[in-house]
Amino acid sequence: MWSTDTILVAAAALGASWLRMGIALVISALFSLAVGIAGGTSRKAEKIIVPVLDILQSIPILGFFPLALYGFYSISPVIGAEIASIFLIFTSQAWNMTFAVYESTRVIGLDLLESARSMRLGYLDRLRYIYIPASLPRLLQNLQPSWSNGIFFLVGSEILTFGSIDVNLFGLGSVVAQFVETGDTFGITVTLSMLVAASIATNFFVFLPLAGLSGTRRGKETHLARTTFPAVFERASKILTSGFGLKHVVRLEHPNIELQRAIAGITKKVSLPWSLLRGLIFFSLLAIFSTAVISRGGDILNVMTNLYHAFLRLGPINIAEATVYSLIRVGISLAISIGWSIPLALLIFRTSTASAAVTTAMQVASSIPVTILYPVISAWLPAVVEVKAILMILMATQWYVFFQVLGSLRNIPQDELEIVDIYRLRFVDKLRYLYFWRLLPALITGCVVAAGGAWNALVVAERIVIGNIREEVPTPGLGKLLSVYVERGDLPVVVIILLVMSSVVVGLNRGLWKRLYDLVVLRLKAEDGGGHGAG
Amino acid sequence: MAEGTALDDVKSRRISEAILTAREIYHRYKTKKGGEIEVIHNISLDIRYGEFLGIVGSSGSGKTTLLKILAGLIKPTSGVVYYKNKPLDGPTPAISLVFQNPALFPWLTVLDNVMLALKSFDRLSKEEMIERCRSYLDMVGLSGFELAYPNELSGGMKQRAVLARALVTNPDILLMDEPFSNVDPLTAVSLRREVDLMRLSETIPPSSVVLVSHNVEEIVELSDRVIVLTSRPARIAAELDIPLPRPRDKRSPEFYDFVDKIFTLMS
Repeated sequence: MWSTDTILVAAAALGASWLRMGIALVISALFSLAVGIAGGTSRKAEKIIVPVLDILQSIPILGFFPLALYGFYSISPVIGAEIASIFLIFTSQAWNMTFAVYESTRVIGLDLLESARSMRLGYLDRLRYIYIPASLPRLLQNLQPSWSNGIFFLVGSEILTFGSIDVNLFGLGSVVAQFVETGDTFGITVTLSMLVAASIATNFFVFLPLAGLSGTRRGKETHLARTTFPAVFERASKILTSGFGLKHVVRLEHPNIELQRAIAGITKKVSLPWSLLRGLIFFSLLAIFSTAVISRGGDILNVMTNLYHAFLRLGPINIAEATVYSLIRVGISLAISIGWSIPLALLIFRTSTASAAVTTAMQVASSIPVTILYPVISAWLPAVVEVKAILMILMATQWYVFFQVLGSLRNIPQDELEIVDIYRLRFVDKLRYLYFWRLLPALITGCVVAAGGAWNALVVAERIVIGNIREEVPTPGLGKLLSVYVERGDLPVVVIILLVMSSVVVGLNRGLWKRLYDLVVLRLKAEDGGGHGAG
Repeated sequence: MAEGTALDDVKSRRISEAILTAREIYHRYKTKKGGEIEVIHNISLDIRYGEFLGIVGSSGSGKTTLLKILAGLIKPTSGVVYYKNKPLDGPTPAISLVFQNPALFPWLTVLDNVMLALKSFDRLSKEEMIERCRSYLDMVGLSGFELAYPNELSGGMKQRAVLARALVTNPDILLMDEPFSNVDPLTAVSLRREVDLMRLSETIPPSSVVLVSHNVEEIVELSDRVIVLTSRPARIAAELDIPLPRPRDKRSPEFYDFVDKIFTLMS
């Protein structure tokens, strides 16, 4: 039924959630600048920061629950719950930004640094005139993917259950769940319409103009020199006052590609055995530490026994089974993403208007948080939970593949297109001799990101818990396992699952994707490591 | 028809008849702010059978755009290009183009790159294609490099491979866009000489060559006739014949008279 109260509640919930997201994003940006610049400008810091980032980015948001709850909530349940929630959103936003800043500062030309030295610029001046301006372009482009990622896990950050601790913060997730529970169709409609409108508006009026500020993505030195603070704000105000012309949007590639660059960048820096070993050490320490916290002291032997028992509780066969099923789900989602992305991209890439229109439409589609919509659309989706799970994964990841492929095709040098046109090659030949080669590296990087995203999305897709809605796939899965044990509050088991999951992600990145990529680039014989394609 | 008559036919047509004709070409680009920039303003020109036409203009004068219009790659805002008196409505293998940058596909061998040009010739068997490509690679001095990848070649060799690719289809017209500007000066000298020699041989296509360049000496060295373009928008500023004997001596006073003349016309 129509009610002003409902509208107010929905608006308030939207405001609360957006505020949390905004605060988390600002913290993420500051964090990324601090940590990224430290890693990019100091060799010593780099040695610690890069491997830690490598592990952190492979942990799904649920993995941060214990830390959030023990670190913040148990100190003060009132403010602590709020801080815990913002912290969790932060963990889904910060890594790609941090890596973008790290890479941007890492590639600053030596001549620039040396001239700064000869001018005897202090650290603050270097920060202001060199490091921050150098980081800004990619930092700005990373705001949007970070926001999208955060919104995907928003529900999970506002409604926390860990053992006996139950946090249910006022926000979009809890309000929608409540409306669904009471069967308030009007409330659901209003809240979701507001959510979709706000998502689109935020995307178009905040992030795309901001990303547009950074100009060309390839711009390095010349660009860097010009990106000073006054210039950025001047251009910002210009764009913001000129009615957010759509033309700014049209020229943009999807910023999610930034996420891929970040992860691909990490992949290049760390070798596989070291990554796995570091992961093992990291998680073992975490496990010992957290178990020690729970048992309030107790001796180490006790802690180790606890972990061992946790491993037994879980059972190695269960873990293996869950891993295989999750792998299959990720694989299917990837196959579907590739299946529609390549034909569609091939169809539209040579017409600028079609590319722009489709890109814009997809930006809208990808900015709608499917996890919050879930209680409502769940009824319309096929009743098979397995299918729903795949759909959830797709909604979180398929865009990466498409935008990557489209981007690579759009980046094909004009000369090459003209050559295949002049010799009037048939479509099949164009595909075979040109398009295929140009899209291959991008396809692989797209898959890396999509697969990484898929592993994260598993914790939401394989087992959905929103208010009273509880749906889980009938077959095993790592995400489901993690979700169950987080809810039970069984910390040692959670840590073990995290270790497995993180190792699988890291192992796939290095063992499969990186090898594929190197193989392709080698075959391409491209001078700059597939620069055209991977761009 | 006997061979002799055909040749005579070609020679008699040389003087007057046009193989490619551009009539009242205008071209404008839309800028991002919604305005328009005119790059070509009312250009009409004829490319005659068997001639070497030089088009010279300063950088950014729209030379490349004009060449792509002549190749059928860009549709002009208004105006028509006729190839053998028929309107040209897209790229055709009869008109080949050599770009400023040697656009070879890095993942294909030199031979495969050249073969690409023959892909739409259904009537050739694979063996015939390979045979023909090899002979053209041989002609440009690349025999032995058939299975090399472009990145293993020097800049000059890449440009030779591009030349082979442009010629292997037996085009009537060869359009060249600053083909010597990205190779070192010494290589450029030898490439120019080869293009000049190739033109003297009756058996090798193409019948006509158009060279676009901002290098005035290069234009005077190679062209039978020169069209001088103004800066943006490009208009035809002047047209002159260069009746000097070949090979041309770059140090002769006559040669420099032409160079000076064209420089004056350009400014």
